[in-house]
Amino acid sequence: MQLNSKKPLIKNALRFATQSLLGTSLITPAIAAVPKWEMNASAFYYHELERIRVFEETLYIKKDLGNNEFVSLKQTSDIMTGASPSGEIAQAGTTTTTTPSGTTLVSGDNQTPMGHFQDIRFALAANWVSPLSRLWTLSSGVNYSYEYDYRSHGASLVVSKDANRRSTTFTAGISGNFDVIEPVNGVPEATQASTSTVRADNDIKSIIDVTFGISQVLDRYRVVEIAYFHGYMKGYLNDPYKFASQVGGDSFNESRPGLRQQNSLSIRLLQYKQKKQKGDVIDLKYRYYSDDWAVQAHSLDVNYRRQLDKTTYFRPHIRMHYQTAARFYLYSLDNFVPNFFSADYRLAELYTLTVGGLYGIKINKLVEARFRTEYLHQGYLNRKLDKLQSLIFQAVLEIKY
Amino acid sequence: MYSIKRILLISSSLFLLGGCSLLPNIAPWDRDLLAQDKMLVDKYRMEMLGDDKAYFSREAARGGQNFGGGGCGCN
Repeated sequence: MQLNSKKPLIKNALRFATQSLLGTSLITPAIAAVPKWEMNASAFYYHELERIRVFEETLYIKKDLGNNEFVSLKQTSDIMTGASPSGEIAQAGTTTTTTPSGTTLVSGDNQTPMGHFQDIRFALAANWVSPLSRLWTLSSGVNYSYEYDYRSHGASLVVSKDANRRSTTFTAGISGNFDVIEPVNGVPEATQASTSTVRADNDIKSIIDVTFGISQVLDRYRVVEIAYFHGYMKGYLNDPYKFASQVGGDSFNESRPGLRQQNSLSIRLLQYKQKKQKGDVIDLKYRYYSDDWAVQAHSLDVNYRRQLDKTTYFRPHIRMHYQTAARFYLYSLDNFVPNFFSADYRLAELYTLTVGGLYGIKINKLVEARFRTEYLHQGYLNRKLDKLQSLIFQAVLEIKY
Repeated sequence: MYSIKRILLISSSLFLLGGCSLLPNIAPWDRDLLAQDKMLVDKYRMEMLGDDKAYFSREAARGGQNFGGGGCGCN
């Protein structure tokens, strides 16, 4: 009886010694039981003042197959309703826009013309992580999403290598997406009048993304991640529901270049801040972005997780983003219609400020619930554009067993 | 072409660093705090997905987030 009760202790001591020597305990504590299943469920609500509303549910399930092999499945569906600026300018008097589908959009005196829509999206992604050897790991995934006017098919491969007794991890990944765009009543022809009935049934877009990253344990309290991203997009890159208009004149379908190359460099620091029995966490992230459409952007994300007691915590958050305008962005057209132009406010020079907070509670050893709310404010250097304000609410349930 | 060269340069540099002893080498038994659930880099995976949704469709920048996905980001 006594001998039997000692066996697990000896087994754990041997396991601890082996794992310490092999350095396999970066993520998982050496002796703690490893959860075999992980499930995350999320309800996300995004509400823009006088514009769109989005409700999204996500279910994520991950299974530990043992020997550092994992499979995961993510399912998402969302519903979007509301109105979004069409890109046309507010004019004195009533503005009437007739789209190729024959739909008439009417906006009031000096009011920004809006396009009304309703959309439902369904997405599925699967991922498999398998060890190639003691230090090399391969992660492969596929994803698919469907909207009635848009379909996306993708696959990804990520290889990572641990080094320096697993203090360092190098990552290289590639993903490809093939998208089919089928706008309501066809693809409008770029640069043509918005009333033009010339349109194709559908068009395509291809995306290749490449990332390289390094994750480094700096000391007992800090981990840093540096990642480089390159995106290559080719095909139909217009928004089929956006136009640009002449002052007191006609509206034209927007026209963006058919090629876009994007680069970003991001750095993230996670720091543990020890306080008596509790531990807070600082999470800082900065990203620099640049593309060949002349957009340059700086984004800074700051999170501070403050442990309130053993089971609850509060995580305030602030995010700041600034971007320059795309080379072909314009507020309105003059008499000359160029080859490339877009009045889409998202390509304008803008800043976004987000502030919010998350409250987390550990219900028991296996279950954690989180609730967060955020306020997002987007302003534009061109003061004629209406500012955007939105609220985000999210509830997440995390179960590990 | 310039970008491809740059990618190859960065990738080869990163992998060469694999054998570099200049990088900090922290013993496994000194990573007890980093092994805590709250220090996992993807702890807030679901919140990040929500943020990606909001920012992808309201800003022009991309990258440094989750791989793959899908959706037009229109409207």
